[in-house]
Amino acid sequence: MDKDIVSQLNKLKSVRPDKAWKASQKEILMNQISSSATERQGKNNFFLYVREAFTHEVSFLSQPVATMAIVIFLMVGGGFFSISAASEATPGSFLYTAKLVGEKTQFVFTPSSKEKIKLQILFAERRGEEIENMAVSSEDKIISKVADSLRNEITEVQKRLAEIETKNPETAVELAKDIENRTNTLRQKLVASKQALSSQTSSAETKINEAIRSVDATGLSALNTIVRAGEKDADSEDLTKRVAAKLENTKKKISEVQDDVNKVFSAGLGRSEAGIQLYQMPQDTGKKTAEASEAIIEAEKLLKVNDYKAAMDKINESEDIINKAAENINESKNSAEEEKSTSTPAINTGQEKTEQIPEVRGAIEEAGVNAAGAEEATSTEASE
Amino acid sequence: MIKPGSFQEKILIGRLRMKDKDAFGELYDIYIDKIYRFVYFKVSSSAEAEDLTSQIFLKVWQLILDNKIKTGQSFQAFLYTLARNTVIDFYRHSRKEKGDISLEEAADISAAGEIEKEIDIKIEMERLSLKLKKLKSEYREALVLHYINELSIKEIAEILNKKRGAVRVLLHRAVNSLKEILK
Repeated sequence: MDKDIVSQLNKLKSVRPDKAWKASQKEILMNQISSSATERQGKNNFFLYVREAFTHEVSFLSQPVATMAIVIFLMVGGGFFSISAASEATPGSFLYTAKLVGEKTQFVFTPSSKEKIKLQILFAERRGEEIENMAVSSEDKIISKVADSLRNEITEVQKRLAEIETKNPETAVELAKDIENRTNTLRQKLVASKQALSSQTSSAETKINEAIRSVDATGLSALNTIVRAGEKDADSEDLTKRVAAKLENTKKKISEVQDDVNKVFSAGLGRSEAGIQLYQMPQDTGKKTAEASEAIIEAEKLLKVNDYKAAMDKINESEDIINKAAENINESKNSAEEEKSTSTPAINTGQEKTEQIPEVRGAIEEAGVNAAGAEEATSTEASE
Repeated sequence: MIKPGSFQEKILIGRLRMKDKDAFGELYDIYIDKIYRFVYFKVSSSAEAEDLTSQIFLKVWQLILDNKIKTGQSFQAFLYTLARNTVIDFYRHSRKEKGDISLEEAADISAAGEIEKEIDIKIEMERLSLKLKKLKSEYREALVLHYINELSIKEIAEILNKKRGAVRVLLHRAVNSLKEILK
């Protein structure tokens, strides 16, 4: 009986539009659309058509393995490479380039800005994982390259978010919340990786520091987007949590910079005791950490009265200051490394270093931030 | 003839997204019969089916111009979804549901050859079409998409926004329901 019904239904396949109507309708439609149509790109512009064809196949291309298959097929026309191996490839390995090419291809074929930004964050997270996995190795140059790549991706996220905010503020806020959460996680990963570096060489650590600053800048930019939108929003609980968390992060950053200062001082002290190297800390670094701490204290007060925009202004100010301080420290470390390799030993003067310490210590005490190294310096000063 | 979902069709769609008029014409040729048939069994009057089919293709072009073609969906599914929504809008505006197919209208349908055979087919189609109209709308839709327009379960699931299992159940119930009506 079922077959009978199906065969009866199948007969209805012969229902078709009138041929004359089909032809006339096509002519009418083609005339109607001709004013808004574009000239055909050219029969030989195959790649252009392929790109456009696959821009709507998001579900297909969101699979990295499938994208790799296209890339490899287009590149070598064969199945020599193991596709799954390419997607798992680690920096420095043969297939890592194919992995990056696959990511670039996936990005090109992604149609919307919203999807592009999500991909860029994902790629930045992958670079973060790669750094984490390589931190204990001594592949300094490779880690530096990967950190550079991460920095580029995350900087693009910031730019793209700004563009989206001008065109579509609601979408921008939705993206900003996700970006802010993910940059916080990424930051933690990078900080842990930095601490786990097998050799505390300048280049890898410097590059990771730069990457962290870029991640922070993007996270801050995302939070600014949320705060700007949130001014119109009745629900302030989420906003308070986010701004408070950013505040805490900035405080930690000030501590980290402070730790770096103390590390550099200790290293400098050690070297000068051995009569090898004099380390000069830039004059205003201590002042900078103090200013950053003051700005954060003000931000806390403003947050207590739910003045989010003003609180964010102070956080932005503090971040700017502490970033400059961190850059100064990096520059000093780098120039010290260069001098170490080229110059003759210098005599320890000691005096300048001791003069530097009280400013930094003062700032820490005011801000209520602990610094074990500063205390040691204090006792040295007291004994003199 | 280019098959729906084939690589060649994807290239065609790529050209369409670049507002290539000729690509639009080629896709019209591929899909005009299917979309007409789909709409026809929803409205059962060839005049209305023709009007709505024209509207649907014009909407496709407008969506291309507005870059609003949905991502992650096959072009065929997109087209059927658009057709479905257009018919729903039509009913919402006109607040009527036609069910009759006359022999004169059945004469629009392409015939096999001999007049007797034509008439037999038309009568049979009239009978079946009338029976189809007695079915629940979603049963009728599923039967038309699967048995008349030859869409797969997966494609129907995409258009109706249901799971594949649900579509299989729907088809099974639709066939049983039609069986009851034909008794």
